[in-house]
Amino acid sequence: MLGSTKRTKTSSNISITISSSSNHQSAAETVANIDDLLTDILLRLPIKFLLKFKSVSKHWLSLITNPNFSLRRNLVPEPISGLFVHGINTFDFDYINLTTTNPCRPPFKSLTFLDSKASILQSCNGLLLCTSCRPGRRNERNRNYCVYNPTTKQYTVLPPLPVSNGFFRVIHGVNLAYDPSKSPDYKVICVRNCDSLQEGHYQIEIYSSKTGPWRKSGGTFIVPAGINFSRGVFWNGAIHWISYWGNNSLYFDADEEKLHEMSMPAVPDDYGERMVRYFGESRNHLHLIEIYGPCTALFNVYEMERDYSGWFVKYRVDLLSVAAAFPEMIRSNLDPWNLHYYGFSILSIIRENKDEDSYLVVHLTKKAIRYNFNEKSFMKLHDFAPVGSQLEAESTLEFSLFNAFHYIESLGYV
Amino acid sequence: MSTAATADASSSGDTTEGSVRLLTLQSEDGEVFEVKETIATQSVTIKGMVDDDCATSTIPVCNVTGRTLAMVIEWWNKHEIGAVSNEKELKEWESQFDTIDDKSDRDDVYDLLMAANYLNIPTLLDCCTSAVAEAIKGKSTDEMREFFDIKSDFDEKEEDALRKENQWAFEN
Repeated sequence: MLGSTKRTKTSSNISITISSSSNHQSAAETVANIDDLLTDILLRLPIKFLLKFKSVSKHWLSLITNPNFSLRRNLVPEPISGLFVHGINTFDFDYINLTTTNPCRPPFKSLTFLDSKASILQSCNGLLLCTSCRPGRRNERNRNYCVYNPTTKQYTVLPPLPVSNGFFRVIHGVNLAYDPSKSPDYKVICVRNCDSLQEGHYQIEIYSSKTGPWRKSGGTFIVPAGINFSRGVFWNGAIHWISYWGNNSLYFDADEEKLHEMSMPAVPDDYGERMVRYFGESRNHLHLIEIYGPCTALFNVYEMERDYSGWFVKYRVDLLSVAAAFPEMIRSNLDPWNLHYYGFSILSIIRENKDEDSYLVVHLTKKAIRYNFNEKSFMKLHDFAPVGSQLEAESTLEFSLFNAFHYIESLGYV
Repeated sequence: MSTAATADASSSGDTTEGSVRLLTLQSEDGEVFEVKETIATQSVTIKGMVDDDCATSTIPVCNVTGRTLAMVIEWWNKHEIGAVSNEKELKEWESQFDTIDDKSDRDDVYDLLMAANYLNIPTLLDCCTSAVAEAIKGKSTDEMREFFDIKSDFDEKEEDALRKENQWAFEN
C-alpha cells in the first residue's frame, strides 16, 4: 500500500504527501484510480460479480483478468458450489446444487467440444478435464482432451498426443494438475505404454499450459499390479492413483515430476481386492472410503496425513438411520451381509471451512442425500429426473462410482 | 454514519500520561491534532517515521482533511491495543460502515479508505474495502460506473461480446 504514499524529508519537518491524487477528482474516482485499493475491493466480491464487472471498463477488465488477481483470490479455497453427475450411457449431466445461500442455474446440461459430446474425466480446483471422440471415429487415437473452465466457459483443446514410429501407444490415464493458489498454470499428465511396448512398462507425458506441447517426463517405469490410472486425484501438488490389489499406490509430484509410493490400508484377508467406494479431494484433504462387511451401511472415511505417513480415520459414518428413513435403499432380495444389500453410492465428501459442517453426498435411488459427519444428521439434497427404461430394477442406481465432479467457481485462465 | 468524532486533541499537554509521547499531526486544511504515539503507530507509515526518529516535529498529513483525520483518530482510539473496549460496542460502532448507500456516507468511506491507504492502517483499510465491496455486490454494470464515476471505454461490439461470454453472471 505504500506504493502510493511518499515520505519526503524537508528541512523543517517530515510530510506525508500523496502523489496520485488531485483535487478535481471525486473521492470515488480517486479510489477507482488506485489499483491497489480497487483490487482490494474487487477481491472481496463473488466471482459472478467479477465476471459481470469485466465489462465496466478496459481498466477493470485488465485488473480482473490479470493472473495475479486470480492467484490472490485463490489464497482462500473457493467453496464447492455443486456437483456435476454423469449418467450411465448418456452424455447428459445432472447438477446437484450444494449452496444454500446463492443457488445458481446448472452451468451446463451437456458439453460439446469440436462438434462432439464430451464426458468429464476430472475436476481440479475449478477446471474440468474433459474428453470426446471425433465424430465417427471412436478409437483412442481420435480422442480429444480438453481443459474447460465451466465458470468463464473458456476451453482449450489440447494438441493430439504424439505418435511415435507409426504406433499409437495405449493411454492408461489422463489427469489434470492445477493449484490456483500456487500458479495460474496447469499441467496435464498422461500415462501411456512406453515405446518398446513391453508389458507393464509405462511412460509419463506432460502437457503444460505454460510451455506448450506434449513431452516425455522421466524414463519408463514398471507399474505395480492393480494400479488404476484412469481416476487420478490431485492433492498436495501431486496426482494420486490407487492400487486395487497391492498395499502401495502411486503418486506423481507434478512440480518435481517424480513418482512416489503411498501406502494403503491393508485389504481384509477374505477379500481379493480393495473395495474402494470413494477416493477424492476436498479443501486440501485426501479422502478414501473402502467398504467391507458385515454391515456396509457402517464405514470409515480415511484421510491421508500431509506427510504421507499414513491414513487415519477422519469420520465414522452410520447410514442405518438413512436406510430407516428411505427403506427403498434396502435390497430385500439380498442377504443382509451382502455387499450390495444397501443400495447407495458415495458421490462426494465436502469439507467445509468449519470442520463440523463437513458432509457426505450419498446417492440413493432417484435422489441425493446430504449426511453431516458431526451431527450424523441427513437431509434430501436433490431429486434426479426419472430415467425410466434405463433402470433395470427399482433399486438400481442411476449414477455409478466416481461419476460426480466438483463445481468450483474459478477465474482460472485456460 | 456519524459525523466526525471528537478527536484526541483534548489530551494535548496532558502530563498525567507520564511517559506516553504525543505526536502532532496536521491535516491538509491546517487542523492540528495531538495523538498518543501508541495510538498513531497503528499507521504503518507513522510507525516507520517514529522508528526512524523522524516524528519529532509536526507531521503534515497532506490530502487528508481535518474532518477525515478526526475520523481516523476516532478509529485508532476505538482500536487501541489493550484499550478497554467492549467487543459488542466496537462491532456496533463498526456496523455504521455496513450500509453506505447514502452518497454522503459513501464519500466518508472513500475519504477514510484513502486516508487508510495513505497512512497504511491495515484494520481500517480492511473495514472500508469490505464496506465498499458489500455496497457494490448487487449493482449492475451501469450502476458500478456511476458509483465510481467511470466512463466505459468499450465500443458496443466489445461490450456485447463480453456480456455474451459471461452471460450467466448477468442473469437474475
